[in-house]
Amino acid sequence: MLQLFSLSSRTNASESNVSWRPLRALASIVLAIACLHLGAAWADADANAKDGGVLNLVSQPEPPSLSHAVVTHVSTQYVSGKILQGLLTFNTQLEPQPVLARHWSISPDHLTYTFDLQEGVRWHDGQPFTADDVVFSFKDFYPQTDKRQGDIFAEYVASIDKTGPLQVVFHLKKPFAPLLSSLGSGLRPIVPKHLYEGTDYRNNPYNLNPVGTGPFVFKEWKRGAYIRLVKNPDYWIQGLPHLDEIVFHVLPDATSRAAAFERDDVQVLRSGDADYADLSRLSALPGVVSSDKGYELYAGLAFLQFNVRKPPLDNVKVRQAIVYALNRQFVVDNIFFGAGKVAQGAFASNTPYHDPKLPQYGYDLAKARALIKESGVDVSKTHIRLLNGEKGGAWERLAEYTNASLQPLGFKVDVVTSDAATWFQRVSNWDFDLTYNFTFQIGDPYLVNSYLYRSDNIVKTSPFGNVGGYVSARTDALWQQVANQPEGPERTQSYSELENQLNEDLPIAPIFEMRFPTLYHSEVKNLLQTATSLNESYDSVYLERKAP
Amino acid sequence: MTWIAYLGRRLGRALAVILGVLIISFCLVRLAPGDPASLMAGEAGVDDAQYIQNLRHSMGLDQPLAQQLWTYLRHAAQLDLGYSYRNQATVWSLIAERLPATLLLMGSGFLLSALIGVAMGVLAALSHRRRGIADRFISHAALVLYATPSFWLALLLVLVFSVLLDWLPAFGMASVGVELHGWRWVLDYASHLLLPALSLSFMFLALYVQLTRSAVLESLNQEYVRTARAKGLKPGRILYDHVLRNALLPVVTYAGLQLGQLASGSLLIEVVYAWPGIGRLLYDALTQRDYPLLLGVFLVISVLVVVFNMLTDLLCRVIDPRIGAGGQRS
Amino acid sequence: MKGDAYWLDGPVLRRFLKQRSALAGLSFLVLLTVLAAAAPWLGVASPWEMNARPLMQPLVESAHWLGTDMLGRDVASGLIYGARISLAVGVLSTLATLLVGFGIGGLAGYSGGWVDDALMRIAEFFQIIPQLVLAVLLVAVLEPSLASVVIGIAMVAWPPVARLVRAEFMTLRQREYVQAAVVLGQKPSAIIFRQILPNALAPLLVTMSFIMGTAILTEAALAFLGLGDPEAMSWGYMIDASRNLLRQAWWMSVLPGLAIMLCVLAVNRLGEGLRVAFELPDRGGIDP
Repeated sequence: MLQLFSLSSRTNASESNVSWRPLRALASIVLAIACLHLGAAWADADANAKDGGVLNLVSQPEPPSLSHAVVTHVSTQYVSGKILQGLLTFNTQLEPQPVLARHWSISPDHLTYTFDLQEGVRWHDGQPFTADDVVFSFKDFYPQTDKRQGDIFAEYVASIDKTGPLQVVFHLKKPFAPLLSSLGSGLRPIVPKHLYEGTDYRNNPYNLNPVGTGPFVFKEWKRGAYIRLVKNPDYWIQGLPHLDEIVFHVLPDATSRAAAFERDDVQVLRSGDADYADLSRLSALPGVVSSDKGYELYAGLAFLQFNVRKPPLDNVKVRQAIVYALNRQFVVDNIFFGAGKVAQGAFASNTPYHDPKLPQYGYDLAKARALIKESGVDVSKTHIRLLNGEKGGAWERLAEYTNASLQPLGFKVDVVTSDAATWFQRVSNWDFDLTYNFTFQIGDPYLVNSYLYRSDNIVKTSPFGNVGGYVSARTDALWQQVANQPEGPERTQSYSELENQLNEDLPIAPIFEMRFPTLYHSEVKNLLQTATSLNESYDSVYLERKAP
Repeated sequence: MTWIAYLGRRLGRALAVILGVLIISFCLVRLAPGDPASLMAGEAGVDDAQYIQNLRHSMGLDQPLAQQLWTYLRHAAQLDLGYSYRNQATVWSLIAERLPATLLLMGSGFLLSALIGVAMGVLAALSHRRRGIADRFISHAALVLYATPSFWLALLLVLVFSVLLDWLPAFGMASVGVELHGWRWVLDYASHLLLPALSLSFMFLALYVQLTRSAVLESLNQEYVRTARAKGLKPGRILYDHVLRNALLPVVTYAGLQLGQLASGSLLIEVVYAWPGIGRLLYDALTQRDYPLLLGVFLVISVLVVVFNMLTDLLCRVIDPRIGAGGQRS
Repeated sequence: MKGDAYWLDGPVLRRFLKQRSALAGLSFLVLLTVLAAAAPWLGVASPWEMNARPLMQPLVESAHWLGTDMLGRDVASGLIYGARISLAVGVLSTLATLLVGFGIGGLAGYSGGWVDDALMRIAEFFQIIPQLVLAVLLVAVLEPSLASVVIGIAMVAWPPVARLVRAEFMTLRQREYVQAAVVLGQKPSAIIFRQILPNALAPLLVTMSFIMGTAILTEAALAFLGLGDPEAMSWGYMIDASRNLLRQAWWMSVLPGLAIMLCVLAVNRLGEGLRVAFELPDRGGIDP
């Protein structure tokens, strides 16, 4: 599903001098509580943990590759996250947690980051994991495979050095607070130097047959059927993983997935794995748990992205007319079957950044027509391409619904359905007119949402940037303002102005605030533990056996 | 005509058909709007400039058309059917993985339709002679089946047997997430195969029912049958020895001709049941307009059909050497 | 001897009218055509209009007596507009098939020799390869639209027509009245239209109706696979759209399928009626 694409957007935070001061304050307050909480939870888990069993998951869509170092597609991350690991990860409070880096320290001038790596870690082929692999990954591998990372590192990182067999030091040219967030397991796993050095990284056969350090080892990929991972007996954390095997089943039909889940053939359904129409029925089944956990801090917002470069969408009145023509309540009720509520503005309504007095767009066809007339644009002159990246689900129905809603106004909309990866590519390259997408607002909108609107983020690397080409000096200035202001009435005022301006200009039309229910059978424990729960390594997940 | 000559001729014709398929594939790619290399790169590979460059070179797009065709044919002969950028694998490997599933489905579908069709046809013919109602019922049912869209019927079967009654699984080839052995493994596979094979068989039932019915009726009227009856042979023996043998011939003949449609039918059935065969592969490739894969599947299905067609022709010849070379039909 | 337009003769018509199933089929088709053609004027809402509560069961509300789909679109409207596409594609592709088949078959029958051989080999080729797969490919390459669907169907359905026309051309070439016409100096085109065509018409009509049945089924299959005309609400499309909601809304899949079945059945019975009326050899009523 598209949902965790946007995690890659967290690296957007690393593209500028973000002031983490507001968040740091919050974090330090909850840090103590979080630590206590986590500690208790971990202790509990270990006390009851039982080994063995096979966990059955759904792989939808079938991933193009099994290494999320090369392909940041969520279907790849779901599988590969259990095989490949990075230096650290993030818990639900957004605090970094050690993974392959057991400890790190930051110099007082924020220019030197020293990472001490875990000891006794081996790659799945038996070779030892060392600092060489880390240096290779960040110095050679990522700059080549991920151009944006290359650019960022070129700008901020002076050098990456191995200062011991298990120690790596990053020397920065200037302070770069988001460095840690860009090293997350979900995004930048470490790749084995001895298997990748000197090869064509993108076409290396180990992309389909990954060798990592994680709790599960890649066993088999029967295309169109399943992907099998087995327990890593030499995992560097003693006693883990609990599961013997994880099998990802490729079930292209939503009906099949729902049926498989019902029969307990599959134990977990991520949000979007089952058709939204089946959600209420499935969560009502005995022994099924529906949880929104793992996404709490992530206020999901589904929006309609406009490409404002070309007519007729370059006219603001036309964009506003489009929003008036969409019955967003209908969308929530009948297309997503209640998995959310109508968006009230660009920022999540349950956060203090949203202005409760923001003028709302209702469902008003007459107003839509009037606006189009006012704009003076002949909307039927150009065909508009509405891209959709998932066949046969709620998003496709949403695209159809949009088409049907806009036609009476004279728009000529062509719905183009492709698979997720193609959608990803096209939107990243601005090759669209309209598309639906969604993102997470992680607390402060500056961290993620701003990248949808800022004119310095008009890049062609992912669908989660400013792919629409919206440029507004006023909003750019306002974003700068909120970045530098401390929490307080002034900042609230700035955010209010920002939201109002975005509400008027509508480069993006917020549609609804999403819920992300994960469905799982109650015998699965420890499932949603971190901020990136579903893409995590699952090393502590276990299946509770019923008493014989 | 001697066997060798006949075989040679059949082989020649089979090869001609395969050649035809290749030429059509070749033309299709160049017929489509846009640059052939971009087309073959697919929506996935189209942004990879290096990849397109390589493709352009391997397709020989700067060379004269005849040269390109020769290159294309050469590659096909070596089973180099191209590369699917989306799946990051060669077309042939993707197809080879899924081929057995399709063969299983087509085989069982054909068997079921032949068995049920012939049985029903015989029943209908016998009933006809006795002026029973079974004949009318069966004939009408066959007609209705013929008019019914196969994918819809398949969905109905899913609705009834899987969703409502929960007797049979709705999709896939085997149960997900469970390790079964021996007897239970076979049973699991069989339960998954039943609905798809049945759905596929319904597509051709009508034809076999009608064919068998006519053939049986015809032969029941033949002299030798009446003679046999007069001689006092039991009806069962007559049925088996004379009537059925003659009735089977048109069925086998038509079976050979129906193979193309059997393959087409399995495409639809695989889509409905998420059966992991090459039909499903074709369907997935469609959404992505993954042309190398699309054309590869078309080629392989056609080759399959041609080969089996040839085999059934030979089989017909064995059954009844009176059939002219080429298995003439009316 | 059969001359022009013998088929309007009494006996033919009488034989036709005696068949109840053929009459039923014909009346069904006529009714459907009228309904479909007159839909906009009869006040039938656009099938794309989302004007009701979604997933409404049939026979619950009089305004939507066949229920609604998951986006609140009226199923009855969908069925009627679907008829437009099915009938349109049926007729158009049948005509297109006639064109192609007639051209190729005529050429083969008229020329004889190696041209005939080659063309018949090509016809055999098109009959052996999986036809739906080829049609799918053609439509995919040409991008789905009414035109590409018609072309796709015609491209795979022409062989039986070609064979028929060829056979007629070949037999009739020998007939005396044709030879007489040739001697008399009648132009080839005149011979074709005045002599050959009327005699070929009977078996052609029968074959065409069977082809129309297949065309309707093929169009539904193409739409089901997502290759139908994107602007048209086709029955096949309705079935495809309902797949995920089989449990919640069975009427979304069952009703369009019934419509297809009835349509094809009607066409088939009509063809069978024609065959009996023209006293042509029995092929079991089902054309392979």
